Amino acid sequence: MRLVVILSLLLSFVTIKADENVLDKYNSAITSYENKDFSTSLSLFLEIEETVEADADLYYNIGNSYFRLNQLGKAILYYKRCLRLDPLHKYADQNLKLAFSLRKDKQTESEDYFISETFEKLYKALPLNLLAISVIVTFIIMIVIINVIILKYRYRDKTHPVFFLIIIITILLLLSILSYIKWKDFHYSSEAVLIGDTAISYSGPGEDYTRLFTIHEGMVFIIEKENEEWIQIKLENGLGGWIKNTLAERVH
Amino acid sequence: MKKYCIVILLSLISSLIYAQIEVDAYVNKTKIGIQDTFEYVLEISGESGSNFKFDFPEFENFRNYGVSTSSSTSVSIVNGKMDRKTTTTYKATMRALKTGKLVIPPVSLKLKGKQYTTKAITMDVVDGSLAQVPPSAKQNNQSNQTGSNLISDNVFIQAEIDNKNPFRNQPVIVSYYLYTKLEISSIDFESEPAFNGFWKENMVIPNRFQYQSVNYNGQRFNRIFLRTISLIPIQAGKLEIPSFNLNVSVRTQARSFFDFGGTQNYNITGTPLQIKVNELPPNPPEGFNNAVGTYDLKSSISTQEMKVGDSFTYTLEISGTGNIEHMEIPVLPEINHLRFYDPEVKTEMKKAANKVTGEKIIKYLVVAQEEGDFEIPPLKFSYFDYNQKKYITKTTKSYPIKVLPGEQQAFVMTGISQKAIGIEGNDIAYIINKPDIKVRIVIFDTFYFWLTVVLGLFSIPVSILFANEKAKLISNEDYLRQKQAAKILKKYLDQAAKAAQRRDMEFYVLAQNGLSSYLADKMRIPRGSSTAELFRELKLYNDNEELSEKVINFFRKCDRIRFMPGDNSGESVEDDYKELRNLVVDINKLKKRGKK
Repeated sequence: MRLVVILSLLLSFVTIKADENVLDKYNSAITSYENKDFSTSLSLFLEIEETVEADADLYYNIGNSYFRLNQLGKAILYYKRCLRLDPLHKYADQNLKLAFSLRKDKQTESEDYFISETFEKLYKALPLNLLAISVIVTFIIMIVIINVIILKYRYRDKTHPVFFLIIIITILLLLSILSYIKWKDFHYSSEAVLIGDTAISYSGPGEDYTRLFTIHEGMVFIIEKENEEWIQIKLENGLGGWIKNTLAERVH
Repeated sequence: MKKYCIVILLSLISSLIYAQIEVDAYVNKTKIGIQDTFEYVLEISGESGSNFKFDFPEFENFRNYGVSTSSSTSVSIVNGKMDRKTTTTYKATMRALKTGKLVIPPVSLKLKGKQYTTKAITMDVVDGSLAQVPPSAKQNNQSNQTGSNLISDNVFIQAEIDNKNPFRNQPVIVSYYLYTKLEISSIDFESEPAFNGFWKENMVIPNRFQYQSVNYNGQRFNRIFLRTISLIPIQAGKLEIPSFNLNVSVRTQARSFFDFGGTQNYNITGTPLQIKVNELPPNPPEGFNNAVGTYDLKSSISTQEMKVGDSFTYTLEISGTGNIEHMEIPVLPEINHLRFYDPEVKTEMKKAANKVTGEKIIKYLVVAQEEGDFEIPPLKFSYFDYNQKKYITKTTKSYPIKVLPGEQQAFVMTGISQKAIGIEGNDIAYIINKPDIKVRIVIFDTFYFWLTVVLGLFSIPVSILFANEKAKLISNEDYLRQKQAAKILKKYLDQAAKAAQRRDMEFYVLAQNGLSSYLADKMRIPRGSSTAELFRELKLYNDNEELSEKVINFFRKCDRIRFMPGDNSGESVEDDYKELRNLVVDINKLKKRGKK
């Protein structure tokens, strides 16, 4: 029981006592939302976002406000931000799917094989902190086993402890790799959402290049390169091109 | 001049290449009857060796019965110049498919890069046949009686029907006969006509055609039975039964010594029959499933006592005359705790010449799902008897069924029709009304995470050192003693200190023993060595003569006090304890003398 409490504490976030001012703002934002005054609630939420550090629920609420104001791109952006912080945020996932279905472009995702798809789902669903705890727990188990081998098994048959050690090291390695990828993704993700109405993609950074394709609000893509005015994007289905950087906003 | 020459040369060359080819198309007669066949000939003549492929075209409204190809070559010599001419003839036997003015369209073909087109031919097609009856073997004998030379009067199809006023779903039997006065060499059925508004079933199809001499309208004919079919009208009102369409080859008689006789093809169609189908009387009784005829109903059950999970068969047998093949099977009522699977239905028809009889066997597999007494209720089966012109209902027996408890329970759920929840709209989920702002800590970015990792890693060399130390202790006795020396000394010193506090003479014993043991361990000589040995070793062990002297003096002092009690008042005990402690501190500082 105690373990569960400790784990959940570790998994969750340290609650910072927001000052009264912020709390008041938050409450009035929610009240405006409830009264269907979405533009007021949005501006209040955005003010809170400026003063407070990242919070998944706040992002979710901002996403909802944008959605109500028919700004699909921004809504998708904020749902993505929410899910970045809390991959298990059920409502954000649900709303994101709905928002995706309302886009003009059908985003065809690259067809994956079953195994990689399952792996990806698992990867997306695992929160970074859970991974961190798994890594540290496995690490401690590994250290304990190593120490036990050194201290207690000096003159004894080491087959069993070494066997366990190998298993633990393997698990630790896998978890570490996964954690590293996830951590890198968390901090250095180049995912972005198209917030402009439409964007024309060119083969180079400039309008005099060949026109490649047109995408519409809410499209999700990866930013590969960036210069002062243009960004090189890559869609999930592999299409790539340059669009104006004012049209897109990074998730992170 | 040059120009003329070129023109002449060119025209000569072109005439050499093209001039001789001619394409022509014609028929043997333009006014025909719809039953008559005619010949269509396409003739291509030209240079010898004209070799080309040509697919004979299909013409709309005409039917092609086959094309024969022949080729002939003629050679003529005019003014010493030899002309060779090859003529290829395509001869098609055709028949018109409808009456009126029909046009055989022009045929276009490409020969040696040039397009040739024939003229269109207009055919005048009338009903019946214009062909003269050929002098046939049979006809010769009867020519006086026939009075008609038209083919349609000599060969025709007659259909006989058993009932021109049937009820809906009552089968009617139609037999087709071919009447002929001519000698028939072969009969071919053309495409099957469409029996609209009927279920059609072939009843009798003869293996070979048999002639039967009959009198028809005062004339003698040979009658050939073609086939019998049963038709079940599926709608009420006036319906038309179409006739079959036959291709008949009539053998012609040899007219002269050189004529061996031959065959001539005719197409013969009978006149359709008109029937009026009556609607069944209104208000059919319960259990009526479109069965029309006379039927018998039987039912049986394989067992009436069983265990839960066992199955039995419930059989219905309907036999009789009527539309047995096309009627629907009776519907069983739902019985709780007995599961009826979809029945196996077997229909067997007895093909008789003049009526449709047969039987339908319906077998239900039933699984008993729960124990108890049940009953398969009597089942009603109603049909319309067209002879009595009324509905008749027959009822099966009811069967009581006893289901005993069985070993295994049958887990067959009785189906309840369920429907998925219909989605009526789509919207985002509601906002989260929980104003606590949380800042997420990324554990990987925290100091404590990495501290734990570093500490964990650091513990490995520590425990290695520790383990090595332990191993040294176990393997080296001297080292162990040296390590223990301090402990022993401490023990003695503690006791000595207590004794000193009590100003007890016991102090000197403890001090001497402790110090000697400590020195022995320290110098790795056996414990309990004599004092003299100890002194000698002590002098060997170190360079500090002064300290050695002090130790020796302390030992001597101890001996003196121990063996001459009363000499000491005990005042000096505390001083001596202080001296002992100084000594121990000094001994501890002693370094082993370098190797000798």
